[in-house]
Amino acid sequence: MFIVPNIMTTILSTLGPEFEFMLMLSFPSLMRSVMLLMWILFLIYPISYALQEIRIGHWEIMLSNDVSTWDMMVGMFMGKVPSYGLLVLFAAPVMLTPFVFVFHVSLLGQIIMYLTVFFVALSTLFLSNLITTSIQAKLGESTRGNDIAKALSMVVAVIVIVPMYGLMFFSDALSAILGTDVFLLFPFTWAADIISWSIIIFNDIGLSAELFLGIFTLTALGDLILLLTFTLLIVFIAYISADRIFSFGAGPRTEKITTIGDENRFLAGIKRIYPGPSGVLTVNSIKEFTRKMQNVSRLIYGLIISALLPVILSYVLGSIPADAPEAPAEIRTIILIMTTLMLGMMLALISGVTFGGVGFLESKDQLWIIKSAPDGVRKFAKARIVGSFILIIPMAIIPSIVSAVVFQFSIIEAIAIVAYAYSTTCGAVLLCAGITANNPAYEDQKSSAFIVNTFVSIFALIGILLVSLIVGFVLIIEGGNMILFMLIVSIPMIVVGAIVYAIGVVRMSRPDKN
Amino acid sequence: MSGSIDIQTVGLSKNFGSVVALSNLDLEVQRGSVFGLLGPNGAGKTTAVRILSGLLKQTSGNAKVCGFDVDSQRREIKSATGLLPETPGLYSKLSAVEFLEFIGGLNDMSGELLNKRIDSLMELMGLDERQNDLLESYSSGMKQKVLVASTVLHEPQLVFLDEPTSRLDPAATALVKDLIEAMAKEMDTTFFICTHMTDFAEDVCETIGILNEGILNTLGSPRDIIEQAEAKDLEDAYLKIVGGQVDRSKLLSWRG
Repeated sequence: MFIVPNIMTTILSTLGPEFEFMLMLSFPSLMRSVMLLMWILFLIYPISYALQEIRIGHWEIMLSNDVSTWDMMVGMFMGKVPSYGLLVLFAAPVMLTPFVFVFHVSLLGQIIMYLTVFFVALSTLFLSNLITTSIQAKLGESTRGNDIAKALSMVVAVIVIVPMYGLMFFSDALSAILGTDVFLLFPFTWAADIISWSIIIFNDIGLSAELFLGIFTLTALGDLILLLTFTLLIVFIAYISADRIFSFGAGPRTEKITTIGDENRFLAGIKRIYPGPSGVLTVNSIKEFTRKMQNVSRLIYGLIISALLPVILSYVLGSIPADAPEAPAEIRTIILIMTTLMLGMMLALISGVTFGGVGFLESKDQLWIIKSAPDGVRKFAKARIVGSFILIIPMAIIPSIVSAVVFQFSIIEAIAIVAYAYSTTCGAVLLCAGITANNPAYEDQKSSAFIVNTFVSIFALIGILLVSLIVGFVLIIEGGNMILFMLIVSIPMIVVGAIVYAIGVVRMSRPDKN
Repeated sequence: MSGSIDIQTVGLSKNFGSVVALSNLDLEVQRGSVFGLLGPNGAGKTTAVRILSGLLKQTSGNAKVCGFDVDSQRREIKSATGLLPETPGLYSKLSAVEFLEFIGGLNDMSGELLNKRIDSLMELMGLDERQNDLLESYSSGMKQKVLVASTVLHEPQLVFLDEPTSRLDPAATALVKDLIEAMAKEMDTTFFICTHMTDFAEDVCETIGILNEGILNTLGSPRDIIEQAEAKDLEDAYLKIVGGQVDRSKLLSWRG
């Protein structure tokens, strides 16, 4: 809180009067955006982190002692305060110094600004803690609960951020319908406005509140009362619902039982095409993978992003002036190459991490069972990869068709995009599964092995794709044709992936030394 | 029993860093017999099973399982044996039938024979009514039954069972006991059972070895061990050999 303001003041003083003028004009709206970001971060991150793995076995031990449910709720909140408090301690000066510097806010004003940020951070963290605990208790420490939780941990950000930004986009229309500023309904707006009021009241440059009355619907006191009421309400809800939240319902006899039906035509078809033990292993591998919500949610997430990519690209390219100097044919080739490469990269990253990372092997105990069969690891690895290659087919085809429709590519061009996307994604899955086989992380997303594997996978994927791309472009410049370019950019991933996977399978097959 | 030897170890040892998990194990187990390895937690039982089933490399010594060398013929050993691991590594998102199909596939089985065996085993284990439910909803005892079924599915010559009854209720324990006895008698299957359930071992095993801190202390039939230790039953003998008998005068001393 001392070093950061000093460094930032030095940097900001070099930006000149234009920056100060811009900040003066837009500071209340800017403050709301800054507080929205902080609010989302403090609300979502703890929820997402806690849902990566539900561990509530210790609740039973605590509650069997003389500990009230409310004490536990407060204790869990207090446990999070030091780490998130430290985050605020670092983030608050970065957020507030530009305003303090430009408006010459007095010491009292600065104290109020910082206290408001801390208060909002704590109240949001309390709300987040309440939501997290409720979800954890509802899902319970079961395989099914953990699976749903992991799926939720991935989509929770989307669930909150997308409507929030959607609201920002449609705020004018909504405000017109509601007859008031729609953002006044959110606590981050009240906090942002309290800080903005502090700037106005305690500034030393003669800034007047009249300039911003159109933005502030409430007075500083009104905002403060709303913020306090909201926080007290959250604490009150937590207090009265603590007993209900910390209740154990799930057990082997009370859990929801899922009974599987007959094999569908698709899976029966695979068994017909691929008969014998290998077909049985592949089909069961596909079943096991696709029944996990966390895998399916990742793939749907990847599919939507990949399908949206050409749409966004088309929107961006639509802003190029019609009389641009490039010839239309050249622009078309660039669009084709860009779409293909971006699609391949996106699918490679998402599929690689999903099929090769978390979805590869569930536990060490499972590995013992697989290893106890003759050539068990090799058979398992083959089934897993064949299953993944089958599941990747729609992943590669759907976004490619979307891009072909959006950019009106020919059938040959569309087939080339599908081929590139499919081969790159298969290579990525081989590579990521190979990395996991070399350093098994199982499904523990908080383990160091998982974090290392994810980083290595992402860097290796991007590295191979970029190097292939550069070599491809060099060859094009030196007179190579498009087919050669496509081969150069797609083959290395498959080759490297296959080698890493083969090494991983051999290493995983070996008897343990420890 | 046919008289041939299914397990033969000579000076088998395993160290994990400075920890000696298994020390100079010399053992012979005859085909068609039921051998029990007793010992407290951390005695080295699971380590012995993992080495013998080809999953773990020994530090020194050698062993032959079903006539195959543990160093150079692991594939053959895995074909001839079945392993029930200590902790269940089931696929939670598969049904019991699908899991057994998966295990069958790993052991090169498929088609009518596999389906028939799965149906019979499910019925035998009393799981036929829930055989199509996902394993995530099974109780630990039910999961253990599925694992027992998966261990014998490919009709192995030698079966390693690591704590087979630790999660089972009395009825299921009796079922496993009967299954072991029937397979050993009718099919000449050899069983190597790790357990710390002395009553189970006394009922089922023909020969028992007591392992403590990696060293095989005692070897013989349950009756011989009880007589040698001058004990009233195997539990009493076990406690005398391994230690752990409670001084009753100190039972409530913790109250201060």
